[in-house]
Amino acid sequence: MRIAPVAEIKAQLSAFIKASEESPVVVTKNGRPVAVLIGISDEDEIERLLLAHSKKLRTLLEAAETRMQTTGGVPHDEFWRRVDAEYDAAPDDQQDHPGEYDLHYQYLVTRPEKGRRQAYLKGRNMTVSQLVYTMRANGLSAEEAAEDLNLPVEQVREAQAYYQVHCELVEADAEEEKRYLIAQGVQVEPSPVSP
Amino acid sequence: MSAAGHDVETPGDARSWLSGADDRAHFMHAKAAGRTLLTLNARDFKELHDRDPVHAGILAVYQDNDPARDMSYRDIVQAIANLESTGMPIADALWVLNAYRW
Repeated sequence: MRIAPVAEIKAQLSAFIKASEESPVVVTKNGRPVAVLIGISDEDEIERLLLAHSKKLRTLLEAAETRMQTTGGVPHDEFWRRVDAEYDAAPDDQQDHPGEYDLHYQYLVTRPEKGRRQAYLKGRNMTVSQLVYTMRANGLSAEEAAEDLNLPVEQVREAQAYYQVHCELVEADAEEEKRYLIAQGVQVEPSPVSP
Repeated sequence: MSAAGHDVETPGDARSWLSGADDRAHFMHAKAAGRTLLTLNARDFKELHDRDPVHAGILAVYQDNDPARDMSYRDIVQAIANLESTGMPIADALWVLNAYRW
């Protein structure tokens, strides 16, 4: 860790930024530490770093810790009981996903905020392709899929009809997901040395 | 999966409303319950894993457009067994089961 006065940092900012990639640089003013220069090697670190140093979040965490010490906190089952109660009390229109709107289908919705082109099954966190490809993989009829996945059979049939008309949207989503996973370094195929 | 000896909980088993809830709710529930999460949504759970990599593990199945690459329920169970046989840790990791299909 390096320590340098603010005047020195100002004069050689680029060099200190480079040095901060190795270890934090403490900035001093009149001999007292006033700030720290921290290098970012991964963009995902920014969010964690900002959260870790957020005064608002620290205040919330300190308040929660104090509350836990004085009240003993909320047991896991009690927490979920309260979430259930709040959900049950909310009006139906607030229980839907934000941003979803109806297509010309009774059982399907689009959720543009999810970043996919294809429709979702209304009331479920499931895309048309997740249903239709699962049926294909397991040789399920509409009736079997409805029973297996606890869906109305009409919803399954509507998803199948949607896929017939919009299979290019569904396939584009799958291709995009594959590109994303590969770009992220996720292994999606068995390696050549697998048994 | 139950027949293969796994202790399985579906979203509907856990909470009546969880089956329609968003990815984060499933992630938080599985994390709190200490359960490995199995999903067909590799993309969004990869993002959740990157943001919070401390959990009981995420197993994802990528659904390819090519029917020859489909993974049936049986293939998924076998891929989990194959992954387990490698000895790789499941917790705090995201695995795409397509890579363990053999």
